[in-house]
Amino acid sequence: MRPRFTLLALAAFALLPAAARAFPTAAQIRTAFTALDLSENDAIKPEEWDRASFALFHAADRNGDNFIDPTELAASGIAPETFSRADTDHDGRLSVAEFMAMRRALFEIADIDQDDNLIFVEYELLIVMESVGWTDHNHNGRIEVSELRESLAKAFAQLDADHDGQLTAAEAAYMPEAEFKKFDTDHDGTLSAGEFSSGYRAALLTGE
Amino acid sequence: MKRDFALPLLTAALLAASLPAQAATRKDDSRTAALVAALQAVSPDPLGGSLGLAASTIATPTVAPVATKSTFARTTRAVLDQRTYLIWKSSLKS
Repeated sequence: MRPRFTLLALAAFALLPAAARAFPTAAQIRTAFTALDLSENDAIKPEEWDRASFALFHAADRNGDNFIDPTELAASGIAPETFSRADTDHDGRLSVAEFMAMRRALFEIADIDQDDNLIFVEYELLIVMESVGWTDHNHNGRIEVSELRESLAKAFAQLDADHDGQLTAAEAAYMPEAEFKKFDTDHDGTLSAGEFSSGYRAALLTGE
Repeated sequence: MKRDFALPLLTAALLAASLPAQAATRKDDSRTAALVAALQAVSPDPLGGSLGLAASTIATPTVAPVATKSTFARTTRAVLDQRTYLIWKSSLKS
């Protein structure tokens, strides 16, 4: 009896689809964007980003001494290697200034059209690229079109849980339904890698 | 008789006057907490995960209004950030 049960369990496990990497949902991304957009103009201004950054620093600074120190690192969610690199004065802790420098660098990276505002699609891409990373080939702190294409390819591969070369709406659950449909130019209910990449490039060009 | 009531009445009046400010502070605190929760739900690492790691290899913050990488400008920005943060933080407590 036992060996049969074990075999059944193993078979069931093998048939389970590979779990997709946990991306936030479309609703969560929209909620975060709305929370950042204090002026409700559908764009995040640098000063709104800064205010949110203060709130994040404050949340991480558990003992309220205006530094994020190694004892607070684990709870802060900050990657240890990023913490070390952001600690530019090498005193073993992050000051407000060091934290804000990193946060502003993120804003600049996300501001792909360089208009000093983050529209929704730029913020969405920031979230996506936080998971898949980005290589700044020309070391200018900005995402070039070729670099974006590379990061989008990585994102596509990561999202494509069944590796069939197409993204279903379920696999791209972080995308709002309207956005998915807009990207799906051949209306087959899935996104190819080309549609995925072109969709974002078009959205960045039109600002929608 | 009047004096017996004066102090409690004064205290009650002061408390009543402070209620809108206290309510505003509580609203600010809860709004800040909601903001942090919303951001942490999508970005567990406030310094950008894999993107932040890439960013951390790139030099320096920009300084408004003109981008410059001089030490003086960076120091000025650092001081300004610290002060602005402390003002923001005290606005939560007051």
